[in-house]
Amino acid sequence: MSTIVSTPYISINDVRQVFRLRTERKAGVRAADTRDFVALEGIDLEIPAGQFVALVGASGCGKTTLLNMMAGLVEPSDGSIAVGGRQPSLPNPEIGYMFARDALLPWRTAQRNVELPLETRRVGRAERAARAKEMLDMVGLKGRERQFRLQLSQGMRQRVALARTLASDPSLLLMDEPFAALDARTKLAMQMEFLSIWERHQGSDKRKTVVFVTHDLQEAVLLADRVIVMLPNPGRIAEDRIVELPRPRAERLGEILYTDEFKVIAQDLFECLEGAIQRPAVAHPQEA
Amino acid sequence: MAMTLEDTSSTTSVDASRSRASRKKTAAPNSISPRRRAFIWSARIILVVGFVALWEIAGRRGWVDTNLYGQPSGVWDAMKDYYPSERARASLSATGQAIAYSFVIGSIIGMLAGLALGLSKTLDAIFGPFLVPINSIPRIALAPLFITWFGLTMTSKVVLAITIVFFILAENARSAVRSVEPDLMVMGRVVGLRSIGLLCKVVLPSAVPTLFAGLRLTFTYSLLGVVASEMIAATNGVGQDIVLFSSSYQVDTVFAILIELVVFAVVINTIFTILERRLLRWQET
Repeated sequence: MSTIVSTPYISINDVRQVFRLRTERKAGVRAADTRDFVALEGIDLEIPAGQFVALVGASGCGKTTLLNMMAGLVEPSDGSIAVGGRQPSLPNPEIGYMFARDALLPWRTAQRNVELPLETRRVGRAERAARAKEMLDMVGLKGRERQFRLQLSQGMRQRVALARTLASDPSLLLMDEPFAALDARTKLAMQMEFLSIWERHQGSDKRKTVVFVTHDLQEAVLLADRVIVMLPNPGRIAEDRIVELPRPRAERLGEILYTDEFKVIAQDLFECLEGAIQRPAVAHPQEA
Repeated sequence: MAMTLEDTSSTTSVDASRSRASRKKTAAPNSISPRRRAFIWSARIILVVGFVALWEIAGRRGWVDTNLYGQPSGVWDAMKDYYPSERARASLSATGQAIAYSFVIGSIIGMLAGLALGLSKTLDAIFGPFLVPINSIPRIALAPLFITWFGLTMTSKVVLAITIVFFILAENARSAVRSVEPDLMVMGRVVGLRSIGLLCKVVLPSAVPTLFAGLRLTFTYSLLGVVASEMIAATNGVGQDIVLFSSSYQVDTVFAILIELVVFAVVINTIFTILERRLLRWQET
C-alpha cells in the first residue's frame, strides 16, 4: 500500500459480516439447518479525514451494513473497524446519520426535530432553538419552523432531516441513500445544497468526512472524491476510484453532468462494474 | 445511458404521491355541503321525534302496557322527580367516584404493565401466555367473589371494573410500544438517545394515538364494570337504583336513569375528543 502519513480517520480491517438466517422451523430439524448469509467478506478500507466517499452497489451488496458498522449500529462478526481511533459505539456525538426515509418525529415541529440531536448533547434551550432556526434557514425552510411532518412535502421533510443531521456539527456524516426517495428536480437541488454546505466547511477545522451510500453511480461520481463499488454475494469491494473532478462543484452540478470529463469517469466506472458483475463471483470457502 | 443500478427512486415517489392523494380523499368528508348537512340533521331530528311520538301514542292508545314499557311523558315526569332527589345525587356521586377510581387506577397499572410487556421480551414471554385466558373470564362472574371479599363497598365495584379495564390497556399499550416505527428507533439511537431518552422521546409519544383510543374504551368499560357490580349487590349507586326501580315496576324512572348515564358518557367522551384534538394536533394535514 502507498504510505499514508497521518493515520486514516476510518479504518476497516478484514471485516466480515455474517447474518444468521433462520429458516422455517420444522419439527425435528435442529439448529444446524439455520443458514448463514455472508453480507460482507474481506472488507479492507481506509478513509482519511475530510474525504467524501461514495459506496455504490446494487441492493444486497452490504453497503448499508458497512455504513451501520461505522455508525456503531452493527458490530462486525469478524475483523476490526475504527473511527477516529476508536471502535464505533452509540451514542456517538461525532456522527450525523441520514437515510432515505426522513424519520422525522411526526409529533414535533420541524424546528423541534432539528433540535433533537442537540438535546442529547446538552445544549441549552435558547441556543438549541437558535441553532435549529439557522439550520432550517440554511436548507431553505425559513418560515416552516412550526410545521409538523404531515404538513411538509416529501422534499421538505428530507430537508428537515438534512438540517437535523447537520445540526450538531458532526465530523462524520453517514448517509444512506439520503436523496433516493426524491423526484429528479428536488434531488438535484438537495444535492447542490448539501454539497455546497460540505464544500464550504472543507477548508475549516469543521471539515466533515462523508460516507455516502447510493445505488446511483451518477450521483456517486457527481458528489464524491472517491467512489467505491461494491458487489453482492458475498458483499465485497470491487473497485476503488478517486474522482478527479475539480472542486468546488456545488454551483455547477447541473452542468458537470454534461461535461465530457464526467461522462468518461462515469462510463468507465459503469463498464468496470458491468464487467465485474459478469465475471462470476469468486468462490469463497464454504462454511459447511 | 442508464446507470442507475436499481431504480427505486421513481417507485417510492409514486407511492408517496399516492398516499398523499388518498389522504386528501379521506379529508373530504369534513367539507360536506351545507345542504347535505341540513338534510342529515333534519333526518336525525325526525328520527328521534318520530320514535318518541310513536312510543307516546302507543302508550296512550293502549297498544303497549305502560306499566311494562313506560311512556315518554311518564319518563319526563320521572326525570323531574328523580333528578333533583337526594337519592339521585348520592347514587350518581357514588357511581361517578367508583368510575373515576377504576378508570385512573386501571389505566395506569394497565398501561405500565403493557409498556413493560412491550419493552421486555422476557417479561412478555413469562406473562404473555396468561393474558388471553384470564381476559376471557366473563368478569361479571367475578363480582360475587369480590363482594364476598370486600363486602358491599366501593372497593368491590372498583376492583371488578379494574379487572376489565386493566387488560384493555395492557394489550393496547403493549401493541402501541411494539409498533413504533423501526426507522424512528434507529434515528433516535444515532442521534444519541439512550434507553430512557428513547422511551420518553420516541416510544411514548408515538404510542399516544393508540393509547388514546384505548383510554376511550377504558372509560366505557369502567362505567360498565361499576354499574354491573352495583346491580349485583351494593349499598348505593346508579346500578342499585336501576335494580330497585325496575323490580318495583317504575319503568319510567329506569329510563330516566339510563338517559342520565348516556348524558354522563357523552360528556366524558366529548372531553376526550377535545383533549385528543389538542394533543394530536400534529396529525392534521
